[in-house]
Amino acid sequence: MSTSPLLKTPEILLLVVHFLPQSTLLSCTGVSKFWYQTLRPLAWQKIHLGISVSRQPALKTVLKHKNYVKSLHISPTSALGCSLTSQTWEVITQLSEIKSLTIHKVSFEEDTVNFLWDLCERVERLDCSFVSIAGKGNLESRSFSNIRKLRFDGDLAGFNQVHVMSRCPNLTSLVWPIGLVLGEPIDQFVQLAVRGTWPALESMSRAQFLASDNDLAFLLKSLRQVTEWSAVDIGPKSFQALQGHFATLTAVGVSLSFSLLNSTATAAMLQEILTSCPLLETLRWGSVNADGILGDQPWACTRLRSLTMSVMFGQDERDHLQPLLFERLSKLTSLENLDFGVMPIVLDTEHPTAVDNQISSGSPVSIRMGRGIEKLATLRSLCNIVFVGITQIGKTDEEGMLELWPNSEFIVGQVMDNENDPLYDLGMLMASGGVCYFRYRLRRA
Amino acid sequence: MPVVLTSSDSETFTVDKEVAERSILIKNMIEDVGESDSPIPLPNVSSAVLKKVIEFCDHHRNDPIQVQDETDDPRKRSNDIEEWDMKFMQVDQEMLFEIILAANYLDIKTLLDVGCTTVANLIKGKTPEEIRKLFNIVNDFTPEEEAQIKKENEWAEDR
Repeated sequence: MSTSPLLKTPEILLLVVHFLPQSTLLSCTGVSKFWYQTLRPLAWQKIHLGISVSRQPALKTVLKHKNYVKSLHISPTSALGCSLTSQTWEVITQLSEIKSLTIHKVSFEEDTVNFLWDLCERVERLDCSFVSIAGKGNLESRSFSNIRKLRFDGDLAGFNQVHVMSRCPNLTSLVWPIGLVLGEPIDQFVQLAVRGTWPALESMSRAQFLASDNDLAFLLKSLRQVTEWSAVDIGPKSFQALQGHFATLTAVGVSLSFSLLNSTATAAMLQEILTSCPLLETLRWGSVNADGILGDQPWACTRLRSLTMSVMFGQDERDHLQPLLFERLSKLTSLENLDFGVMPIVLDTEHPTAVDNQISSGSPVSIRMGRGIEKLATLRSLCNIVFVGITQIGKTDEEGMLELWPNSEFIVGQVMDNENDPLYDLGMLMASGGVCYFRYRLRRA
Repeated sequence: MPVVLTSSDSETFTVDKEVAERSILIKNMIEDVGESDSPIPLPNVSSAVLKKVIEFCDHHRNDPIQVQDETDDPRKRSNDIEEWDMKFMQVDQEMLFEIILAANYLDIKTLLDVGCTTVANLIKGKTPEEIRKLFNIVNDFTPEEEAQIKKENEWAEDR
């Protein structure tokens, strides 16, 4: 048998190896000259430096393949972080084709920080997490006009990340989850945004940062188009500003952390999002009372793929409201992930009732068979289901769920302590206040 | 309404529209031309291969259509193949590559993925020598070149 002529076609060879990990790809380059030439660009497309010398390519080798490196990842194996030698930086500086840079736990000093700015001038995507930057180098004279996507997470040294952002005029997506420096940077950011520093910015995530309703409203108004928005909370002003983006929003996340006692988000806001955002694919909300989101208007978000919300029912409301809720959900046929959220846990022992006031004293969704859940049989793509508050779930329920959602991979929930039935593949997550929370994976025959 | 397909060796196949439309190429052709009785010529696909492709599309006729993922994240790709697909792919190498090529030309993403994953699983974890043996590939490197490549890639070897 001779070699298939098809394996001599670069197109087919590239299709096949597309699935392989880098280690095998590199092996493949050693097969023949044709494989070497065809696969070299792919095998050297991504490299990872900063880890131990024996687990990363030699600098000499990196230089040899430098024209193929498009994506560079710098992160140390040690939890303590690392700073690279200047020889390594000299090599990195020569990666002229680089488009994407990920740096994690790397420290920059005054004498190395300019290497970072050199890279920032070249890349389209920059992902920094827990990067410590001491000194600005010659940042003031730089422009990072290639950067489209930027993530800045975890500031170690109090470096003002807005200084870097302000140099990225073509930014389209910004993920900026934590700002340990409160106050000034977000004010500066909002001022810059209002002045039109980022005319193309359309995706913004500030998931874990508290900013005032006013600031967020300004920010939302200053952005031309918003497709993704997430924040800890949403207030009346920022909600009003968000309404201007309803036609384009694909993702909305409002964390409503349970420790946040005076949340300003309301069920009416959630209802308006559900009924007014046709392109929405991802929606994450905190706890909400069912009667607040089941108004007459139909839900418009038929493209939703992932929905997370802790729906609660008021006293004696579940029997008649739950079927209505499932009726609405049954129309969202693109749903893959349906998460009824976690039971709020009262962490604030001094004011235990404060959380109760936020989430009502009602009961969560029950997905026992015979309570309307059969309506969700229309959700053919559903694969992850997370629910809370099931006190008694039996064999019928398990079988019913498997039948309802043939593609389901995970069903996660909790049972009461005394329902610990060996029938289930149970693993204890945590115990609190006499209730055991369980996560289990339904087993298929 | 059924659709008539003609293979490169002029054999005709009549298939249901929903089966034929698993191929994005054919789907677009039908949309462009409109409903028509005239057969759709597929000059790049032989009858033996087309028969296999139709078998696959017929089995998967009710699957949701996969949307092209823009992220192209390899971690998202699964190396698991359904049992039926695995059996379907138990063909000789030549046919396997022909199917991949046809899937690529006809734009049937699921078939392309299954085919490529099948080959990738054959290659995974193998040394260059083992890969040559698997596909009958002649080693045209000089011993020096070979040693050089091996040395450059040592860091990535599975240990």
